[in-house]
Amino acid sequence: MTAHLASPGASSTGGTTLPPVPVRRRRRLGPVLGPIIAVLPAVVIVGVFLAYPIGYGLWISLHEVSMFRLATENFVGLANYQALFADPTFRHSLGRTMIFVFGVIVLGMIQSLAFGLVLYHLPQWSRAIRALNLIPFFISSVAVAMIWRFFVQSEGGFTQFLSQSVGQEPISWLASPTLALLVVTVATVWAMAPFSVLLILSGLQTVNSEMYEAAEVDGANAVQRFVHITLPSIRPQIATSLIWLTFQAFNSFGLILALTGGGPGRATEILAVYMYGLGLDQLDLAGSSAVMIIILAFNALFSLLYLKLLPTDEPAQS
Amino acid sequence: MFKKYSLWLAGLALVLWTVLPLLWAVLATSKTTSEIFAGEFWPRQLSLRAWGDLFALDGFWRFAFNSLYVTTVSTIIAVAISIIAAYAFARYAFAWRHVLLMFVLLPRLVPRVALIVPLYLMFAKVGLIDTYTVIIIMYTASAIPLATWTLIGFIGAIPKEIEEAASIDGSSLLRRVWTIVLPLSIPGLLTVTVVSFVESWNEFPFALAFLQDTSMRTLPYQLFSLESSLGLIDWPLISAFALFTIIPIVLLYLRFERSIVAGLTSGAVK
Repeated sequence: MTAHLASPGASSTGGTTLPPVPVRRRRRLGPVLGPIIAVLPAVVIVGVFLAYPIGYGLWISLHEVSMFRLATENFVGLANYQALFADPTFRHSLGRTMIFVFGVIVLGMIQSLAFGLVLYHLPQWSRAIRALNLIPFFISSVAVAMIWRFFVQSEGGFTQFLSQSVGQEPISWLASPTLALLVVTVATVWAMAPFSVLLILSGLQTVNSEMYEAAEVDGANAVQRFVHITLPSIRPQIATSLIWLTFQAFNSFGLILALTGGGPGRATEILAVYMYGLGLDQLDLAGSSAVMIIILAFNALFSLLYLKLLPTDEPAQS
Repeated sequence: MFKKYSLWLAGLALVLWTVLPLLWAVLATSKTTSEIFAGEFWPRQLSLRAWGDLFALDGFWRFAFNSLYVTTVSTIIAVAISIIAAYAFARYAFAWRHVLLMFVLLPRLVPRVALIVPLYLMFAKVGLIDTYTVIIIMYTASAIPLATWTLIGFIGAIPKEIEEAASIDGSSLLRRVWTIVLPLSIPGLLTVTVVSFVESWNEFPFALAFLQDTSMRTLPYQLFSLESSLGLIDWPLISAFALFTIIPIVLLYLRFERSIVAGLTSGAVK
């Protein structure tokens, strides 16, 4: 088998490979081994430190773990999973996670579509606003948490300033289970939705403007044009945004740990935070690994669900 | 006319929503504790006290060094490994190419927080907990999938006829990569470097789980721990700390905004 130069773009479509172009044989890198040696460092590092831990986590979750030997012991089957589902703390965490994820998706999609449309319609010279939109996305989860914690403080927060300006007593947002979950949701959306705004915007820019003109001639109003032309045209970007927001919400960790610590009580203790506490504070590594597998399963499930949204008659990458 | 005004109003809402929490933190750095608790909007006078406190904070420069060190080293290694892999993936058809490509890319879909427990056990066994090595390895591994994917796109877009011409003229593979491929993929390299740098600079879960000694902490870790080490919460100091971690990243982003945005959107949709 001789190696040949693959056509550009073959990586994404996988199909169109141009006729083989002979490459001069060299002594040091054989034509077949060369490229494999070149990709090996990347493959090994990703394999050992990102892929292997998944399998190892699954393995741990089916065993008992000795903290002294730092090793797995007896095989216990699904006992760790059964223990989890029997634990009211876990079920509570699962319930709060669902509310949180749902909230992030709803608020995040509203922000993405609304701001996406705004940025699309603003004139060209308003690029600065476009650049500004993405800034929260680059801020570390801990810094986002600290900024929002201060923002909603009943003593010194912007919310206190607002309450005082309308003559109300300030509310302690982080002391109420419901309001704390709301704050965590809003802060997550603030930090993560700018990226899906960008995705939606890039989708809008690909919509054929002649379709709008034709619809306008036919007497369609703005809402009808949005529902019947815009939304179907940006389906791939909507699906990607949904995956993005779900993924970010499900795996939110640093932001919640630094913003509420999972509290008050366990009101904002979503699965990733619960998993961390169970594993590295209570040292139940087996139970914690079972939570990890459940988190991964949810991620995979939701991704598959959203991919159904993609139009089937064209490649998923448009 | 109405449409135009409502559009600008919506644009203003976007700006306020994005900027207000940040502005509140910026204003706080100039306020005194009593001004904070009184809930006033503007500070009475400009003051740099919070920044002075921050720079005098016990171990602050050590944490800043730790962050800069692990971020720089892991970014350099990750970009180097990624460009070599990306060149092979973009230019050669070889056995197992698709399988290996999927293998490198798929971990992007795995949340890194989820891997903490098995990783902890792996590193504890070999005695690597509480070393820079662990952090650098994990930041490098995390950066490789997206970096490789983005670079494949950039290298694939360079017409291979240029390389073929050089090859016929007798230039070696290394020479072709050095004189043709690298210069032409500088926008891609820039994007990948900035994105990897930002991700490592901001990373928190791995640092929290794998570092124990206080002097090893990175900036996000120390920002997280700051509150418990202070008596009364010093919001001006915390705001200054948070802003200190944000400012270099935002400057980097604004400087390379165009290529970063292009790189991010092309990487996400595929």
